[in-house]
Amino acid sequence: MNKNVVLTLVILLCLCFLLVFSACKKATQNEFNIEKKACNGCGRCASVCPSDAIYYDGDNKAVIDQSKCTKCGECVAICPQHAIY
Amino acid sequence: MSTTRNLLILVLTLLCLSLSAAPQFILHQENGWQQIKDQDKTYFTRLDLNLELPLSKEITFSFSDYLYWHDAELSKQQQRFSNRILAAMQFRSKYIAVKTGYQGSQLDNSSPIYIFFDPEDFPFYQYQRRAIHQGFASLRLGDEDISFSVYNIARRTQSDLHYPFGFEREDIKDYRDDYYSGGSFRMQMGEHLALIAGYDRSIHPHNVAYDIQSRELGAELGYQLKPLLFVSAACTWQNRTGSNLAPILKNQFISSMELSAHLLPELYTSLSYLNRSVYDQKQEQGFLLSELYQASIKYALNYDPSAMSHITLGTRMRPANKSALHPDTSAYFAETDLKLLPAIYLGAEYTGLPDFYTQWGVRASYSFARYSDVQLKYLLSEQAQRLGSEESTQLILGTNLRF
Repeated sequence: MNKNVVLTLVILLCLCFLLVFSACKKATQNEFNIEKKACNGCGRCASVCPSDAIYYDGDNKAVIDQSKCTKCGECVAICPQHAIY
Repeated sequence: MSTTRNLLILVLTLLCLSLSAAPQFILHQENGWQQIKDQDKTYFTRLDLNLELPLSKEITFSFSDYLYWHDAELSKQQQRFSNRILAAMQFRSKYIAVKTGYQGSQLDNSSPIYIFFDPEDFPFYQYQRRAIHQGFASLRLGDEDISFSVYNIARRTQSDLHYPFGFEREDIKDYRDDYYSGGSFRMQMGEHLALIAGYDRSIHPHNVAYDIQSRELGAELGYQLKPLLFVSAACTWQNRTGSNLAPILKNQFISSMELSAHLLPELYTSLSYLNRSVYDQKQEQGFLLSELYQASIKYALNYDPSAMSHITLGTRMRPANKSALHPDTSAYFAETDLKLLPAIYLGAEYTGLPDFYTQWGVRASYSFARYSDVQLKYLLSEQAQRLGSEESTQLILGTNLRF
């Protein structure tokens, strides 16, 4: 089979997965995560986090320690890159 | 103390610059006044410095400093002073990459707050946060086809203890240690597809309830459809164990897709979608946890050969957060910079987070080199209605240096 056809099929399969996941019911729990590509490592999120739940990886990208996070949302509002979702 | 530290940073920066012929230096600095309606005028300063210094063909030293100081406390958890520094040394050859470094934050002049260090105990004591020290080391072995990497992070957070109700306890420490470590394996399957497996672990000696172990298995796909059209997709299954994690959050599927294209030489667009879904074993059903839609379009006006005259529109939408009874964290932004005279630019910007704030701004800048300029900026912000609709204005004099 042509390589391009295989890749197109894989992409379509991924799209189907995304659509299926989007159609799911909303979970009763929530969790904040940081999109690594958008994070600039400025440290503002860690400075306002009331539970010291944000640390930095070796590439200076913020990571949320999910077991310590209280989901207060302080980091969301202060992030200049809008990287927290 | 802060003056000495800043002087040390400056000396270190100059020393680094003198050591190498081809460093990369980026400085963004702002000084300004903020006026909140019916309150006194306050002063603030901000400095972002990034330096990358190749010491040899394989070894690079990098240094960053993010400093913020404000002469008033703007909200309860806002530090009036924070200084975060990062110093790292990296060795990179064809098959080995080693990186080690220190990241530290100095925090000061904030109100003491309750920090929930123990999920089972209400803290009858408050902490005034002082410092975060973090050391890290990582190693990657392999090449572009197959690689194995490990990392270790050790962190100490320091605070001053306050007892608002008077129940002093000697067993409460003013510091906490956390350790994060993990490893991952990546294998390229052909030109476009990569398989990834990973394991991460967090250890919290002060309370094992916070410990998490996480396993990941995923695939990444990147494909250049046309010379200027790129598509990438990734899908990861993540399984976590930890006693302080809600059971429904333990099995997650993270999928993403990104499309970026130069529709015209001066028109760049990017579309991406990120989805986190969970699988509840009790109900045997999948649920949507969070999602992030991103879209941006940038048009570079071709009358300016430097491509610095542009119009940019973008959004980051997170509808799942709103339906989970959290404030809507979606953001909308627009920005333009237009060259009026040689080296003189006039710009405008808008940022809107409907449940948090709306901000408008205008700026005039004098560009004395590519990506280096002096700016005068005026910003008008209004807090969302649920936060009191407070209005504030800022007048900022800033500098960008890049060479």
